[in-house]
Amino acid sequence: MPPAAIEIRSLTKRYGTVRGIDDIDLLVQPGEIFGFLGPNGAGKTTTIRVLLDELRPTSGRATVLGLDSHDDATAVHRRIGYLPGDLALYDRLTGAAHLDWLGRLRGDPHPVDRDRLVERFEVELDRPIRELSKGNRQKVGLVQAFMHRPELVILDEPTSGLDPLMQDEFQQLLRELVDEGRTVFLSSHSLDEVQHVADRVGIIRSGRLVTVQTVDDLEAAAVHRVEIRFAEVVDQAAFVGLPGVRDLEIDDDPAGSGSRLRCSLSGDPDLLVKAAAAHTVTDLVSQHADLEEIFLTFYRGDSDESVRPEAGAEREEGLHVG
Amino acid sequence: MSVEILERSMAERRRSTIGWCLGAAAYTLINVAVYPQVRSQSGLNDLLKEYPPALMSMMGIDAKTLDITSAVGYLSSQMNMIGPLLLVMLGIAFGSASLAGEEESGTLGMVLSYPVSRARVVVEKGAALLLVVGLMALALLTAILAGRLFDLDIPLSGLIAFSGSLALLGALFGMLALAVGAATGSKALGTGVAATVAAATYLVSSLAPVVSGVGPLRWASPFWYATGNNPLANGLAVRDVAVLAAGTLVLWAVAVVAFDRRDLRG
Repeated sequence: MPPAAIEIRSLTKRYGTVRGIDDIDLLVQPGEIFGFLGPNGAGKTTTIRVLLDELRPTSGRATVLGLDSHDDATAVHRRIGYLPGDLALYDRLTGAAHLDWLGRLRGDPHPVDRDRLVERFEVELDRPIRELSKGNRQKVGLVQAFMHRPELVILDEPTSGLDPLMQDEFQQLLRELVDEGRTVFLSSHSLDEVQHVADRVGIIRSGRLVTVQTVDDLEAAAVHRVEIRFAEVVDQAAFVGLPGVRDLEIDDDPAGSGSRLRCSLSGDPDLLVKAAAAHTVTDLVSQHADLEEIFLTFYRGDSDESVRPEAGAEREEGLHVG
Repeated sequence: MSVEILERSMAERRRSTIGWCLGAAAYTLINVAVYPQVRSQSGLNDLLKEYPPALMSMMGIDAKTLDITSAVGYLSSQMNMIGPLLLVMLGIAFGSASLAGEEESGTLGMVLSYPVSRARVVVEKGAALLLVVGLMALALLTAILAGRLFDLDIPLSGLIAFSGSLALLGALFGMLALAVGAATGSKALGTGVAATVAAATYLVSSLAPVVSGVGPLRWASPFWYATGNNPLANGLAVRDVAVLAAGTLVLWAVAVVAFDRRDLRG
């Protein structure tokens, strides 16, 4: 069995006063697209910079393609492609000259996929980097990360500045990559960037890994937004405390003379429906909350009903939805 | 052996390096071109003897023994202060910009994500520094050599000793700036520390002959080894070359080790 694409064990990195990551364990399998999600400042880039040997861990270690991220850094870098979040290129070089130079720096002056990628992403090759828009610079960054056909690509907020068409093209590229058995580690603060391509996601908040789930599971656990309209005025007491019902709100129906009930529902709707059936129901809408909403509950850390408010600051990891 | 990093470092500062070299050469050329006028002013020597020795010493001239109207004497009086200053400034600017400067701008992070060790980066940056100060010294040498068109005849040995000593000085202080930048990741700190040390040691070296009490400190000043014995007139001692070269190599090694031990800025 091939080694894990990325294996992070008890990784802690403290620096500065607030930033850092705390005791992260993570396993990324060969051939998967792993989405690494979290708000800005959560520790995504810190984690990646440890993988790249830019930062040295306070404790714990990471291996990439079976090699130690620090001791074997050069060997790791030979086999991966990397697109940093704050891409900095040599401004005076043209795109073509820059890619030439990077190819030689890698010891691979004619990377196999370079021309194909340049064409596919319509990269501006003839103008100096400093004259390019953010999106066009990002494309140069994308090409350099992929052009040598690496076994693993590590991407930090890769589609920032890309127009929607190019974002689609990019996601298509990632799928082709994993079809060939290669691996993608995709960091982003936005679920949109990740949910359509990733097999699994890890969510990081305040330096801690909150959860690792398949995208399918995440979606299955999604809450519903329920809205019920009644012909008459109903009493809130009949609905309070029903299992799975949260954020219950009953007010006057703006469209009629009765009441309107709104709530979030996780799990089985049976009891809610039975309680509602005691009244005349004029309308019932139940919507799957989109993933964004689940994602936000992880960010806020209030998805677990049992969590007490005073525990908010030092909440333990292992939160789960549903 | 591949030298992409060296090549890029040189190219990134190509324009400013060419500018420095041309400017220094032009300044030197003007000085050598007016030599025929100076030579005919026989009263100049008497005038200079009236100047305070401390002032003369600051300018790198020993007025007691030097004939200002001789070729070597004239050129020493014009170049012994400005020559080292130019090389040291160029070296410091290059040394701090090429490593810490690129770390601050972020391009170094990109380079290090490639299969390139940190040690290789520092070695190539140091080599680029040596090349740049070497080019500058060569530009000065060429300009002084052109003085032969203006009757400014300097023995080749003195010329080589002079430009060589300047190159060594520029390399030493440039490597200091590079090492401080390698240890801290701060371009400003690299420039600041190296410039401060340069100013302090220049003072020590130039005041040593005239201010009692400073004299014993001169062994700690790179300027004393490089220009203290007026290389244009007297050549360069093996000991002086060895001390400057060894200092440069030690700083280079310190830079390699320091850069390898820390987190990259980002």
